[in-house]
Amino acid sequence: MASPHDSVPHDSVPHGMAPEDLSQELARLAAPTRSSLGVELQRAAHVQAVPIALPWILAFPLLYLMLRLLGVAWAPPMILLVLLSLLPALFVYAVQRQSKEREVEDFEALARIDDELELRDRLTAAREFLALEERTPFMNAAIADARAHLERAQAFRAETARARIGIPLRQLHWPAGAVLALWLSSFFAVPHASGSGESGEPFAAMGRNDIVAQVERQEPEPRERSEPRPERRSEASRASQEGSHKRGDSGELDPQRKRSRGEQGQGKSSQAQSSAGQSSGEGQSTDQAQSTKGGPKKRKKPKAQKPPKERVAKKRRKQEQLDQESVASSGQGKGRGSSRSPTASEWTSKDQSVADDEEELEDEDEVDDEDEESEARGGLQPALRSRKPPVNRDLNISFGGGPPPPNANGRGGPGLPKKQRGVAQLVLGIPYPDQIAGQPNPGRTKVTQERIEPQPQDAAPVEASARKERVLPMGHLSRPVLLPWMQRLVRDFQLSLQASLKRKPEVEPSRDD
Amino acid sequence: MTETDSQIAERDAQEFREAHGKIKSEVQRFIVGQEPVIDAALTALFAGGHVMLEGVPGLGKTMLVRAIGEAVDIQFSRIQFTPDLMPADIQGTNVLVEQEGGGHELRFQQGPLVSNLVLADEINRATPRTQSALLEAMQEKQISVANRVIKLDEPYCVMATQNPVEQEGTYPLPEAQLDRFLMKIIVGYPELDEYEEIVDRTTGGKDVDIQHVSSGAEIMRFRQVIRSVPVPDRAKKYAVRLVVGTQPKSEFASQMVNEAVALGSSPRGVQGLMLAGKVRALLAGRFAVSVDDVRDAAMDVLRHRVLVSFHGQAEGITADDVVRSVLETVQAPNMS
Repeated sequence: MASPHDSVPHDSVPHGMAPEDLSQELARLAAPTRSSLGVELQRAAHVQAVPIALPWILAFPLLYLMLRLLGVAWAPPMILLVLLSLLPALFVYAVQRQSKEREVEDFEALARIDDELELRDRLTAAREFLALEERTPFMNAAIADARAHLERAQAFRAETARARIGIPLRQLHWPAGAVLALWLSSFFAVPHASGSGESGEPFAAMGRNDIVAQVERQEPEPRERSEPRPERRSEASRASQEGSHKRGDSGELDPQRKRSRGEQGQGKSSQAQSSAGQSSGEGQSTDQAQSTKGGPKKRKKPKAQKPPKERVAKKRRKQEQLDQESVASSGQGKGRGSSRSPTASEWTSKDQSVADDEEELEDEDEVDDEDEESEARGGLQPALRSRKPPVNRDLNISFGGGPPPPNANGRGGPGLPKKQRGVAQLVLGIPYPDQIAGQPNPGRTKVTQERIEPQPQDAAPVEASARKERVLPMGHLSRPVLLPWMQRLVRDFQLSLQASLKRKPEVEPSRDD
Repeated sequence: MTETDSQIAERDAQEFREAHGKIKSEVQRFIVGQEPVIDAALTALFAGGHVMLEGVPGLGKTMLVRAIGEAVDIQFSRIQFTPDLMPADIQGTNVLVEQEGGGHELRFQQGPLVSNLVLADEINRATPRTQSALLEAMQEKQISVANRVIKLDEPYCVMATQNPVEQEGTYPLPEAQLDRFLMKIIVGYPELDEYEEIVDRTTGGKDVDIQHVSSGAEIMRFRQVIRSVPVPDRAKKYAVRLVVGTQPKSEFASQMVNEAVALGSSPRGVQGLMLAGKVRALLAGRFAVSVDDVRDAAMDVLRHRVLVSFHGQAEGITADDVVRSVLETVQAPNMS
């Protein structure tokens, strides 16, 4: 019996084929499989990368659509969205590129052939054993065994390249979803998105509401509409407040302003004031007259309580009013802008600064109008209120000492001394010092313990002596409580004593006398 | 004409297959069906390992081992493990023997463990103390009693049986004991058509007489043949990956392993995979171990080396499930 576990140098391969020839044959066998395996690796990398990357194509358009639905006034340029959506494609390309650079070895190709033909690693084992300088009998037997299956493997390689071709095209719903999200986002346009207007209309396909909003923005605004937007008004109010505080005005109107208010007809409707004849006759600019908010409150009811018919009628009246005003303003010439008189301008700003509550009401009315318009457009546009700056919620109490905050609106907080309603009038108006002079108790007691070494002290020696006589009195002695019978006893004793003294006979003269 | 070394190897492999076939045929005269179990038991015998046979009573576990012991001309002993069995009962002990001259002396009386093929029947019924007496015999092939060390003759193989049910009054084998078994073979019920043959053989009037078709020396020779089978790197790495894959928190551990396994396989698992793979390769007519040989042997070799955690047991996960998940998740190296 041979000793099969002993390795012996062996340079001859049975069945008449040299080891070099067999190695070359295996390399030739592996070559086409290597190339097809490389393609397969790329495809496998592609198939693995695509499911990871494709959902991200949808991410940015979906995020953008969500922002539009939430009414966020931010719109990135279209090119940026497209570039962001192409990032996953770049990722897939990079992964594919990396797998392409990986070189497939003969060993892998032979392993593939082994697996496909169920050769039980005969080819890979033969290739490995052929590379050894010393081979055991079993290794040579394994090489010979592999040679017997070589023809089968050669017949297989052509099949490999054909059988493994396949393109994963089952993930098309992600880019379709991205396109759909972009398309939908154009229907949920934010009307006053700063990005969309300023960036040169990023979306080629604008929705109907976008176009309507754009047309409305480009139309010359009627006079009533030409009121500054809440931002502008707040700026104007802030400016007027600053101006009034610079002049040391703490909220009381000066006589000139009072006169101006009276002359401008407080209580008149703005429609009457804005008529062309009155405006030109008084030499007042329409803006000036318009900005005077002395008239009665127009609409105080909340929007929910308005019947639809009233809304329609109100809209109609408002449209007529707008038409009239536009006609009137067209005849005014220089009604706006520089024709303002400084007094009126001060009055206007002062009025705005004082009547913040009225402004609030006006804003609410405008919001109602905006809501109505929004409803008229299908309810797709967000409320105007969302574009207002946040109101001041500062509830600190101040009493006109300092300048009011720029966004003070009378809902608590500081501001001007007179508050008609709101939270501030419910707060105690008389300042009480929030401190107490003096200290009601000794305060905190602090105990400090220190370690002190005991030290001997000198003391005079005391000699022992007998106790001396008591010098001090005995002190308080408690009196016994007399019981009733004891009291009677004492009383009887005293009475008898007195009686005996009365009956005492006169003192007899001394016998010596 | 001189024989080349590859032809010598082919001849040795052929002789091995023939010897294996003879023993298997002889055993199959006694055991109906259970071919995978017979193959696995013979694989362990030729590879030099020990076998744990697990199955419900009445499936022929003990008969299988006895049949193998009869088919191969080796010394066979059977130990029925009971709760009161002591290590001295199986290893041997000094007994006081009366001398012919009238005196007494202590003489060592070796136990049934000193044999070639040991059937440890219902091994989990003995106490851990007695079970531990097998550790040295199974690993070092020797027995230490008092100051005496007895070298056990090769081939030495312990084939133990245990019952998966009726766990009351039993002592589960410790991990160190289980790890010493090359394989744990699950013996299942026979196939439907095998029942009639079982009835005919066991209730008929003919007794089956098993002949010796092989010997201990031949077993030892084939053990050398088996160990000379080369293992390519691919199969070797795959076996290592499988074993590492059973270890929680390892590189190749699957989710099930991480969650349900308390203890994975030891390096003995790789040794077992290699030896079993070599036997399978030779039996399949090949001269090198393939990945498939390792994969086919993995279940029997690894199932008793995986300790399922309490969490896994609560989830109903068995060691077989774990090994199955490892086989599904671990790929052979350089496989695209």
